[in-house]
Amino acid sequence: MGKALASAKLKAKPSSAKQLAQLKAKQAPKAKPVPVPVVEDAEESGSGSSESEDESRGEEESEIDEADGGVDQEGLKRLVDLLEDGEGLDEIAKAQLEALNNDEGSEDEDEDDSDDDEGGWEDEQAEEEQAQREEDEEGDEDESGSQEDAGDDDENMANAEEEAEDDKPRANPKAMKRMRELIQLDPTLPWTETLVTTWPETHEKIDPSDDLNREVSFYKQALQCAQKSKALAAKHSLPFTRPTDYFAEMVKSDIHMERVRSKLLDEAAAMKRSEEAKRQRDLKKYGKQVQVEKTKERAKNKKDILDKVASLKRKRAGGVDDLRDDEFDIALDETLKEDRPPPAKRGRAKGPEGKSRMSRSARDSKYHWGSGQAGGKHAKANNRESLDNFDYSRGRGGKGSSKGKGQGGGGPKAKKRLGKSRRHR
Amino acid sequence: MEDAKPTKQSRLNGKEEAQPMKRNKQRVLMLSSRGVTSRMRHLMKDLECLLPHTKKDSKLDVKSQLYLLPELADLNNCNNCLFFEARRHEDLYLWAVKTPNGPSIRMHVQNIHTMDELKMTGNCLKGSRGLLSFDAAFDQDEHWRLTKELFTHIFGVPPGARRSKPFIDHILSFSILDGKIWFRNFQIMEKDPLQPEGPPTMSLVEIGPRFVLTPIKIFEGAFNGAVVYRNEEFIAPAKLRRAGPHTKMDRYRKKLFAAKERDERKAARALPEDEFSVPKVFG
Repeated sequence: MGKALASAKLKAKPSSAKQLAQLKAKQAPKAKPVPVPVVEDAEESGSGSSESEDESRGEEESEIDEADGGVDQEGLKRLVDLLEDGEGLDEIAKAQLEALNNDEGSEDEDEDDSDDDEGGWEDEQAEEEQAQREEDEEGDEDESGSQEDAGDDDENMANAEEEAEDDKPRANPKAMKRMRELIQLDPTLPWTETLVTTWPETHEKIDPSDDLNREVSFYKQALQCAQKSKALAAKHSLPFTRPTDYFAEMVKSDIHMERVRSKLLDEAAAMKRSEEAKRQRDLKKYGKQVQVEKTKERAKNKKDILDKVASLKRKRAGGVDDLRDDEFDIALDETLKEDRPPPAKRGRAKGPEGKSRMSRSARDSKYHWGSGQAGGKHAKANNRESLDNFDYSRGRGGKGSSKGKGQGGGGPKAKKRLGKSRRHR
Repeated sequence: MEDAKPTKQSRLNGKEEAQPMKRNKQRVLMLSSRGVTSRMRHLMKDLECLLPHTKKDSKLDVKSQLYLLPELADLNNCNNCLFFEARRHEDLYLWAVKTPNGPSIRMHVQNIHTMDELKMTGNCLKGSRGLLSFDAAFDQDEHWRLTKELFTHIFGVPPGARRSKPFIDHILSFSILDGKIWFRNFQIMEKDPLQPEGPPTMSLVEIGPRFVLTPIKIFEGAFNGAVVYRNEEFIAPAKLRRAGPHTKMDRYRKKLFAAKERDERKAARALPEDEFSVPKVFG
């Protein structure tokens, strides 16, 4: 908000200045006549709201003030001039001051005590004179403040008044210094009375719209001051740290702190949740990526092979025609062999030492010529016995009656062959 | 106000009888005008519970009768006054005043965050005396120096204030940035909450409230008196709003201007009658 407002202020400044200039031009003749309250009063009498009543009450008051001050307005004006000049203080002013003094009586006893020197006189005089002047000004202030709501005319009026104020000096360091010295605490007071510490640095270089840096800077200031204060407190033997068994009412109630804590926990949980979700999303994305890559690679491989085949075909077509198909196949194999991964081994599986996994006898029994129940190449071929056997119920081939293979004599050894789906698990 | 009278303590202490101890005695009257919003009221409530030496009074009905306030402060035995002046139910001004003789500072309050917000996780004893921390910029200009002095009176809890507690566990920091006073309130943690047995390291946690003050004027008296300082850069928020870029008036004006320009353009582009025009040839 502050940022936006500040920037808005920056932006708006020229335009409002322009407006002011316009208003100034418009209001210049109007603003000159001094007795503002009279004009105001006339205008005020028109509106009948309750606010205007208050207004008019304030008005009366200021008028009364006017009347009071009207007696020696000239003198006052001169005084003002003199004061604004600075040091100059002559007999007339003194005389008038005394006259005023008689009116007002003594406000401040300390003041009166220190009135012997001229500075004191001047202060006193300045105070009183300004008090007089300000009563007028305050009237104006209030009017301008409360009239802002009223309407355009009134706003213009307020602006005009502000314009009129512009002629006055912006700051009066001397007066401020004097006031500060008036209200200042005794410098001999021990530190424990005020607990004030001053940070030796400023925040000049911080960009006010940079939230983080700004807060860090404020934090730094507070932290350093707190540390300094702790040392000072130790020096002045002021109790600083609260003992753990000291319980008292806190600024924020337990209920409120519980709410704060639960909010913190909620936030932490939400953060965790979102992080987890993010991780899952990433994983998913990664998995998908891997899959996509794989399919791409496969497609690429296939394409490569096809390309190669095509190029080979072209080569052959352009060159020698008398090659036979077989030779082409061989050439193709040779070409593809280069970049194809070594094909899965065909044929019999070999053991780790390159030896056959089957023993000689096993191989013999499996591949030998001749028939017999022990197997062999003709194990499945019919012989006389099997030819005559029409018992389908058991034994090898018994079941396969539909195929018309009346193979009998399966023997007790023959196991029932499982279905394909169950065989290839 | 400093008090030269011997206090109870010094009277009890026979040794210090000879030289009466000086005390910092401050009491602050805190009140608002009519028409404050809840946020402003909560800010006031926060300040009230942070500053045990304040006396809260009921809302002041009429904004134009501020001269009543010094009297009111006097009735409440207060020598300072914090007056929250709300305008139009949206702008808040803060008067920090030394009564009865002034000076008074009028400031515009912005960026109010109260302690109710759950973002600020610190906490402190109710009524413990807060440390005050000012940055070095407060010693550079006279009006800042005056402000610092006044804030020391108003925001510094005097020792032995009613309802104040003996330990120190928070720090109010005032920083000047961008011509504004930024207020922060931190809890002082002397132990790391994660390692209570570890070495004592000081850290801060914000308690709230936070707000930004833009000084507008400094008057010589209490709620009156000569203007001894005026902030030229300050533009009243109402004026800012009025000067906003997209007022209805602006839009209407733009429309009118565009229509006028269009007409002019049309007129300028109209061609002279051709010598072969229909009426000339056949007319």
